[in-house]
Amino acid sequence: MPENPDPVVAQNRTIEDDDAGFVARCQRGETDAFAFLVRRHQKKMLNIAYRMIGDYDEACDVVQEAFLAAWRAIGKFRGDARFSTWLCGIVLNHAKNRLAQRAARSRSEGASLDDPAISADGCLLNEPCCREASVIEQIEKRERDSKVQGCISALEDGQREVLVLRDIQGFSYEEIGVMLKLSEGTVKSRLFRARNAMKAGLLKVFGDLT
Amino acid sequence: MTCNEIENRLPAYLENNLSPEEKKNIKGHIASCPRCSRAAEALRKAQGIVQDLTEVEPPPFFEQRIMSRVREEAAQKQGLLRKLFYPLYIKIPIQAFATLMVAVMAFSIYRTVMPELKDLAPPAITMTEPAKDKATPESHKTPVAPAAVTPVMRTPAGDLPEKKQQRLVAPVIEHGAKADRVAGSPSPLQEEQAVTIKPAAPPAMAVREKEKLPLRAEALRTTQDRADKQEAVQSFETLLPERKRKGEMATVGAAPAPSQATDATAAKRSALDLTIHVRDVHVAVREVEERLGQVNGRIIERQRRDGREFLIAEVAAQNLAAFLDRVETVGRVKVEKGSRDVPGANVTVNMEIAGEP
Repeated sequence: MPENPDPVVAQNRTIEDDDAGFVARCQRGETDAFAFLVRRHQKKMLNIAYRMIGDYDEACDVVQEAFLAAWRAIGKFRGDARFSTWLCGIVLNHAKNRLAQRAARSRSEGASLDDPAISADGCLLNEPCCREASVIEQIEKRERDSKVQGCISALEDGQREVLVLRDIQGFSYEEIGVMLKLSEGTVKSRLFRARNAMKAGLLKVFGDLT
Repeated sequence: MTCNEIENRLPAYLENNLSPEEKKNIKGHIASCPRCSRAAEALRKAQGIVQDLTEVEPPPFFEQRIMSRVREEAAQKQGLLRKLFYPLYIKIPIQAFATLMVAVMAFSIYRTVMPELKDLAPPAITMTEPAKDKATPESHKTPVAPAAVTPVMRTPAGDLPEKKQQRLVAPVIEHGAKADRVAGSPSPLQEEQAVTIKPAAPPAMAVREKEKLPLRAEALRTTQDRADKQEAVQSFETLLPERKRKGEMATVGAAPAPSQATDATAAKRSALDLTIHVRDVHVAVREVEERLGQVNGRIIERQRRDGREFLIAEVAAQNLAAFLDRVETVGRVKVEKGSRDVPGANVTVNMEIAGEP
């Protein structure tokens, strides 16, 4: 569980960003520096997008678009927050846009082949391949993860993004507040509601969690 | 607090985000309520399950796919910049040429504006004339107060620095002082001012001044004499080619220039034009110089052209007759213009020394 940062200390401390040097080079137009940033952050961004959208291929598209948007806008990045925080905000926006497009499409056309395939028991069918040792264990884990992902996808948008950022990605309340442009109090109250909703969803899928 | 309320507060309780009192109440309730105790445990497990989710891996060549699009984008952006500012072998000559053009334009503008800047001073002096005309007899007797003149001066020149204003006021004070000098002794400083200011004033103004104040000629004599000398030299020189065309061998400096300036200065000039025919021009020139020296005269200008010598000399009016008597011993003298009785302090004598025909 991520530690709860003291807001006063968080406000007064100087933001140390390992990416600052690469960002400066990117701002001078060096694509090699941006390639390094892509390499460093692609996995985290992909996981955020995947947990938000619930579809691996769509998550890959979203992350690709988000990196491209980040490259276009990197000249405007002033270093007020960490680069990773700024990048997460872009990924989240693209993911939410994709969800909104999907919702609009499903309202007008009904179920689409592009929608994440969820089985009758709530499992996601379009799952990424995992590189686990045992095939049986891999299958069991895949099933459980897809059920959990189904519960995450069933959350409201506001609760889902807070849960993903805090409980899965481990961002601080302050960083989440910066990304979502919310106060820390709002972030916490959303998170507590999301956790209760998540517990209820998991209880429904798995039965007794204890 | 009911069990439902406790369940809603459980996430904050587990996050240690409650007041100590509330925390103590919930802790006591959980210890005594199996349902809420199970709910708290389920919440902990649910958080554990979420955090235990396996991270997905990016697909193969994901970075390359992203970067290929980024590089494509960067190339397009660079292409636009390159069109505007590159390559350097075009950019640098263009910049150098532009710099050169700016410098040439600045110089030409400077040269165009420069004469206008020089002409700024005379209008300021001209503006003092009405002030002088309007001045009462009392103002002639007493020096004009600068405060009374300053508003007039400011009209064309604007808000000038104090020193400049003083400089512009100086001629006005001089007008007042000129009247004094008619009756009294001339001040050397004022004479110097007159010498320096006079060339800048328009010739028409000089004529007006002379008409209005004929008696101040004594005070301005030095200035006038210098101007006469210059003008005499100029007219002598300008007339030479014309005479040559007409074949007037003997006439020198007779016709006044048609310009207004020459007309104005002609009234002030005391000049005598001579033609001296001699056997040996070189010897005659030396002799004329000797004769000039005997009457305290001097050569102002000397030119040699077509085997003839053109001399402009300055002689005191009272010595003019003596000089003419002496110069007649040099050769055959013919007075082309003027007479022996010339008014004024000094006389400018234009001489053409030619060989015997």
